[in-house]
Amino acid sequence: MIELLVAAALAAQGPPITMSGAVPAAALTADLAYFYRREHRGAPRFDIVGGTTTSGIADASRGVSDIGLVTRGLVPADPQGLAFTAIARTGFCLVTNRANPVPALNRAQVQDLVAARITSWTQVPGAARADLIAAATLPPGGGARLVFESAFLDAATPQAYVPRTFTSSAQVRDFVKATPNAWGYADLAFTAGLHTVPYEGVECSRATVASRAYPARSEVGFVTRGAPKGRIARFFRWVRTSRKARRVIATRYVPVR
Amino acid sequence: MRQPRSVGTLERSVSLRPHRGLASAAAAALAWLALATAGAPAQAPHDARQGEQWAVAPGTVLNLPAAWELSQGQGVTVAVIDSGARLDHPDLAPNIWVNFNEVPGNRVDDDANGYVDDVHGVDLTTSSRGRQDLSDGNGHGTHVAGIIAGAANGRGVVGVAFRARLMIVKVLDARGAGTTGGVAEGIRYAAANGAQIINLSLGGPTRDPRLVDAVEAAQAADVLLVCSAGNLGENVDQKPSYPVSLPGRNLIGVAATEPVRGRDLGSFSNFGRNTIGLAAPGVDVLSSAKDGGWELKSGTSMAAPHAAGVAALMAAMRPDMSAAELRAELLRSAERTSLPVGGGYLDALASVVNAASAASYGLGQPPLLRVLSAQRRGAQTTVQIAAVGNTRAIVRFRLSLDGRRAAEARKRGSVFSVRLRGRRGRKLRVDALDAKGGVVASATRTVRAVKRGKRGVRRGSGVGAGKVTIR
Repeated sequence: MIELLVAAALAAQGPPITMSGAVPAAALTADLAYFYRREHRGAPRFDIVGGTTTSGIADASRGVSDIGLVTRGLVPADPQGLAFTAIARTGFCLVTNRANPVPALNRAQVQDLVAARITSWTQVPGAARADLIAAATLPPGGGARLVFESAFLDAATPQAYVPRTFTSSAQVRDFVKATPNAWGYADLAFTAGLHTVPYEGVECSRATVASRAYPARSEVGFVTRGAPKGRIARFFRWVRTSRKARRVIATRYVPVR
Repeated sequence: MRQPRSVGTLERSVSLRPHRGLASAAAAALAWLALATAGAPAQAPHDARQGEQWAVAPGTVLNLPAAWELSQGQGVTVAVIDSGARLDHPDLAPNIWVNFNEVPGNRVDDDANGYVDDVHGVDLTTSSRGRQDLSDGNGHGTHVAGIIAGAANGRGVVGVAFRARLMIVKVLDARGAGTTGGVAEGIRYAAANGAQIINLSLGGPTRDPRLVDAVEAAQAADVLLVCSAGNLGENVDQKPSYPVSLPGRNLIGVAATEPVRGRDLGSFSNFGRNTIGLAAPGVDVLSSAKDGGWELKSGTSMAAPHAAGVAALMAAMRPDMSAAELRAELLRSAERTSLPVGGGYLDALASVVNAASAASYGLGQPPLLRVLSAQRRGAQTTVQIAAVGNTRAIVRFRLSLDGRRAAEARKRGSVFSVRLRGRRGRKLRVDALDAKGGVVASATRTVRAVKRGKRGVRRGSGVGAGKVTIR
């Protein structure tokens, strides 16, 4: 009898819901999936792998995955026929090593850093160091880089600095944490152990992202081929409406309805 | 020459040669990785014609020499589904896969897998059961095999994963032509017989359902398929080519780049931001030749094996990673580019380092057991089992036939085979047991008579290696 019940439960689950895409979104979704399965008897199994926002969108559009995991909304260059469901809002914080707690950066200073007009920490008021500046960035075309460039840079700003390019905010965090003369930008959820630099007098925090005071914001969410249906729609509804889900999201980001 | 990308958060390690551009923060991990790969030779390969291999030189986009510090592909089997291979080529012979359950030349299917005398692979260009002629009348497969796993033996060239094993699955004839039926059967054979990665440097215009089914079977067996993009200079997002255009979490497409800084696509290379994930060296690639020497070839057929080799390096570093995770990490680790591919340039070092540190969602899930196949021939039953999710609690597997205990097997990799000799039965049950004998997960399957190999290999539409330039 027990075996029959187990078999029935497995049959009810059906095939796993497959997801792929941006690692920060994947990490959040893994937590959400855990609590969803705890709350819903017979909930489907989830199959989540990382990648990038771009690969998540491509996978969703081709039917490789049921859901693409993204850290930005859709743009006209993305494949047609996709639907975006936002679940959270995040920010990309300017960060330095904790031993170098730069008190603030303004727009002109960030432009100068990127244009290599500022190359030494002696040129940055309030910096605790006097050596050359090391910089970290994220890959071009990715959600984080797009937000950084659109929020902090003018189109005409030459990107003359030579930053180290990392594949994830976690790697930027680890690099800046281990490099006293480094600065960079990282997803809000990956700034633990770093000094986050206020931009134009605005802290980078969940509160300032929620209030839209902090400019470098982005949405975290799901991309599906067409409007979500069936068990995927049920999962999305739970993510957007359940108190438990909102508490999970709020541990990293700002939940959105 | 370019400055290599930063790939992680590592500190300098005295045991490693300095990697220009490696983020210092990644050091601890690199040092740890170097220790974790103990047994791997720290010595870099120096084969006679390695200097002519632009793709493996230090400082290229591919960044292979640095990746070799961490992994050389040991313990990973890569199937080359192609035109066969020259098995006695000095660069291939040391790395050819051997099926030790098959007695060579006795014209008996000793391991009851449906194929007679499949000692190093199988010949699917013919439906003749008793003959496995893996010789390469075309030269394409020999070249591809050398790119993946040419031995580091001081001679000729060195492969991307020079300690991996090469399973030879011949589906293309001396003209470089074959059928979708043959390719589908080749994928099934490779997946059922232990390949973790399959290289498919071939393609055709027809979406054959057999091919679709075979790709799904490979996914169930957790096998990564690496496919060439094709050599027509077309956008495969709009004009699909198969198998590269098949959607699969275990399938990745590769376009070809030129030697000039390795940054531009070859004019012949197919592309497509949605379909083609990677760009890898594919023009003027030096590798093994069917006459026993070495030759230059160009084509996306040469690009795919570079990616297959890097996947083998990753799989050797992280045997627990699923095929979908390998694909995701290859894409995530690629260097972004304006080229019309989804991921970017294949980056061996970033791929290996990211694989080493990647968290696996699947490993945090409850264990799930699946019986991929259960086949009987005479008194022998062969069972292929997949155990996914968090299998740490599993210490052994109990197999029962028609309710009677048939065998117990110790825990092995995530996909493994068990042979039951002298046991007959129709209903197979597999239980995964913890240390106290408690059942952690179970699966059942009806045992079927073993299917004769090489079924439908002459059917289907045409596939080929595509036009490949030889110099």
